[in-house]
Amino acid sequence: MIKFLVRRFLEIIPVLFIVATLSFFMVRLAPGGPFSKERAIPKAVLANIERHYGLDQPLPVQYVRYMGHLLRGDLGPSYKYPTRTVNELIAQAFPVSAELGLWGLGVALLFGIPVGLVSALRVNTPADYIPMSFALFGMCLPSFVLGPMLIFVFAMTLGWVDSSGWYNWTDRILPALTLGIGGAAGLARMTRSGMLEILSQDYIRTARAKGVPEYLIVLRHALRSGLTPVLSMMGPLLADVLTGSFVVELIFQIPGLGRFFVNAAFNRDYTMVLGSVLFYAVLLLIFNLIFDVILVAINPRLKYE
Amino acid sequence: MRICGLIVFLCGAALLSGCHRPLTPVQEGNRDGILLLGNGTEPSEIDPHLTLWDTDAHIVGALFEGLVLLDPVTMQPVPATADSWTVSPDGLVYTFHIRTTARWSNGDPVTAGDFVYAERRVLSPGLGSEQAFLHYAVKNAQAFNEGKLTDFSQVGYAAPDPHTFVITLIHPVPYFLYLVAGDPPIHQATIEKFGAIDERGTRWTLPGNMVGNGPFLLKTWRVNEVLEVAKNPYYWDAANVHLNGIKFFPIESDETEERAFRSGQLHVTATMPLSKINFYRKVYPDYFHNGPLLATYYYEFNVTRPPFDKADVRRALAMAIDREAIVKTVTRGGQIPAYSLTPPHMGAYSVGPTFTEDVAEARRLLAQAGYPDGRGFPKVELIYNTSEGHRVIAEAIQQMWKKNLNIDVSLFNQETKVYMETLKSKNYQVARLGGGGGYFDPDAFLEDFTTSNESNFTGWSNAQYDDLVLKQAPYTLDPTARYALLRKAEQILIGDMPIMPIYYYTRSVLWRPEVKGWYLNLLEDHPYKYVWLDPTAAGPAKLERKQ
Repeated sequence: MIKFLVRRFLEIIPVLFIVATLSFFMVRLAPGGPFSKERAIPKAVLANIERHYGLDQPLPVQYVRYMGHLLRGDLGPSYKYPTRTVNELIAQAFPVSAELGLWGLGVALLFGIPVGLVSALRVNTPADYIPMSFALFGMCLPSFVLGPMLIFVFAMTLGWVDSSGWYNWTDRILPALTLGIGGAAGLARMTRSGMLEILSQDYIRTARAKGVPEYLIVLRHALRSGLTPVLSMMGPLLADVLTGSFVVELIFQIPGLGRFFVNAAFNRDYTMVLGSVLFYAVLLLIFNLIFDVILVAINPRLKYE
Repeated sequence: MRICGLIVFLCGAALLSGCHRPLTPVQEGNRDGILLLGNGTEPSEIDPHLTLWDTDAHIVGALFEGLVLLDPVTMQPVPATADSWTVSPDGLVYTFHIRTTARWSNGDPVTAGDFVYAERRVLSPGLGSEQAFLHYAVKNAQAFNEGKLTDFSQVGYAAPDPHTFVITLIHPVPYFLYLVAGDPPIHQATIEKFGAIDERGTRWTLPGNMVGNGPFLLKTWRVNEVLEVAKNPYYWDAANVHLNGIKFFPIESDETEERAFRSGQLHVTATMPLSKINFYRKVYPDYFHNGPLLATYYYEFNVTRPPFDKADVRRALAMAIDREAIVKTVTRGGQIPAYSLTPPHMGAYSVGPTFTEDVAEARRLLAQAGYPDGRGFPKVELIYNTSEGHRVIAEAIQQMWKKNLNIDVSLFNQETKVYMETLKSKNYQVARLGGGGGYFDPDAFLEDFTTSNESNFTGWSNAQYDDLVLKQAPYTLDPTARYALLRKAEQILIGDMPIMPIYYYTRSVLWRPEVKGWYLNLLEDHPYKYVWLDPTAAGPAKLERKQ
């Protein structure tokens, strides 16, 4: 297992290098630059600003310099928010996104897995059709529709929570539901199909023939393998929810990372684009590794190869 | 199982309903004298020399104060850090007398030297300030900014004593006081504590570091969440500042902002969704405010490409649209149809309508240009930067041109940065643009279309126009004669029609009745020292969506 972990860790380095290199050159291919504005600024002024950030140097020189800083963990200054570094902006926004993501994931797991289990165990009965229809509806309902609907009911009509902001714990409820309901729907469907497949296996039939109680069959024999597809999805899902959702952050006015991801690209804030892409890549690779380890631990058929 | 679910739901509901706060943020603000403002977007910078957008400038206006201030009602310059000033008879030398009571937020006195230091900083080539060009009318300022002159003492700024600040111009600038209003002093020791005079992005603008001379001082700044300022006890007129603080919320989505306003989280919004205008007009007219801005929405023609190299074609297109229909049925925000580049409300300057809508005449002009009834007219591309608002206007104009002139236009949208590159490289035929003037003078609009101006994307060049705008008008002291020259220039511009005016902008915003001293004005300038909250005038805590 140690060998497996070391090998996977070492694989992360070239992947990050390739991601950084590709992103560095791709973001420069986009027309316009961080300082092109609707009102043209004098060429001399633009030249001064570009000199300040080293953008007047040839691209390969800029690349070598950027990679040098990157090795030291320095993601550089943000061009859009010149007083702050990309490291500071991510450090400020990530905890917010991570908190929101964990609440959202909690909602998704809390509703998704039990509903999926019940559907699989009561397959082709109303206890299967009804939640699965809702799940399909939940998956199709985009967050920019669901969010305002929840606001309308709980903030505007009932007045239980504020419509936007990120100040006290009640501000977490509606965004977490908006983020979690779509995930719950996906998880429910995935749990159901995973469990159905396992429940038709020979070893389950054998267990039933031997008279093992149904709850033990589910908990001890079926659940472990049945949740394999769910767990393999968890790595990317976790990286995704922790790094924020642009739409949910915009609807609820949440100071998370998702807004940086999207706005940095529009602003051509090169360092912020690269910083957020690399940050996302690191999270994705680490979570994938963690869930691969968990998968092997719960599924004896898989090996650390 | 079902009972368990019901119990969980009821507990959650009880918990939620129990926890909702007794007062809305607006009610708390009314109680504490804290104004809650929607700021549109997150300020990218609050260094007065590096800000460019209104959203940033609104915050700088709370933290710094220039020599003069604009009266929120009349928009006329009134004394601020300078208590008086004189102008030499030739209009070239301005002498400002700085108040002896003016203080920085750390208690240091504000001196003329601080103003000289600020001008040296904004003009330093290394700083790359995008506002530097606004100082080019000052003697040697342009040469210093471009690095051709290194001795700042030769630039037309001087401080003969700590309370006298003298500015020498190369030609009279009738709107010069509007320029100095947005040009505050800078605290030298603070700048140099965090970096060199010409260093961008140092940490002097962060809370705890910044020293300003405005009515408020920076308290907190959390990106994408809130920027908070508190009353500055050292401000020279602190006794007349009514608010204890202001919170600026960078809410980008107008829908989110409107919901926050309705649920009692904001006193004033930065904008509002078009779809809600009718609702507020009918149900909450006291909250809805709409007024003109000093800005014009127009289309530009690339005159270097056929068929737009012919003035007749450009004029025909401009005359064949129905602006009244556009503002009434498409934009619906009270916009005013535009028949000139410079908006009305420019005081003594008025050019009046420079052309009329006339479909028959438009057809005649098109035929004269070689395209009778639109025959043989090449397929034209109209581009705009991606926005729902621009799209619907472009579609309306596309139909009007098809119906009235029988010409086909295809529409393309581009993301803003891509769009700007397209305009700069003149790789377009017809493009949307809009321009505002930062001061009450036609110059703010007309200079953009001189041959060498970086913002002239049309390729249009007219020697007489350049001469009138750049050479004759600046050296004409008599305001009437100067306006006559600029009027002539605008008539030349519109006569040749490299741009097609569509409407003059208006602004629709929401503010609560307890907000006093807040006015809609042409420059969207709201000096916060004049604003106060009157809880006795407060409306309902939350606005119901009744019809």
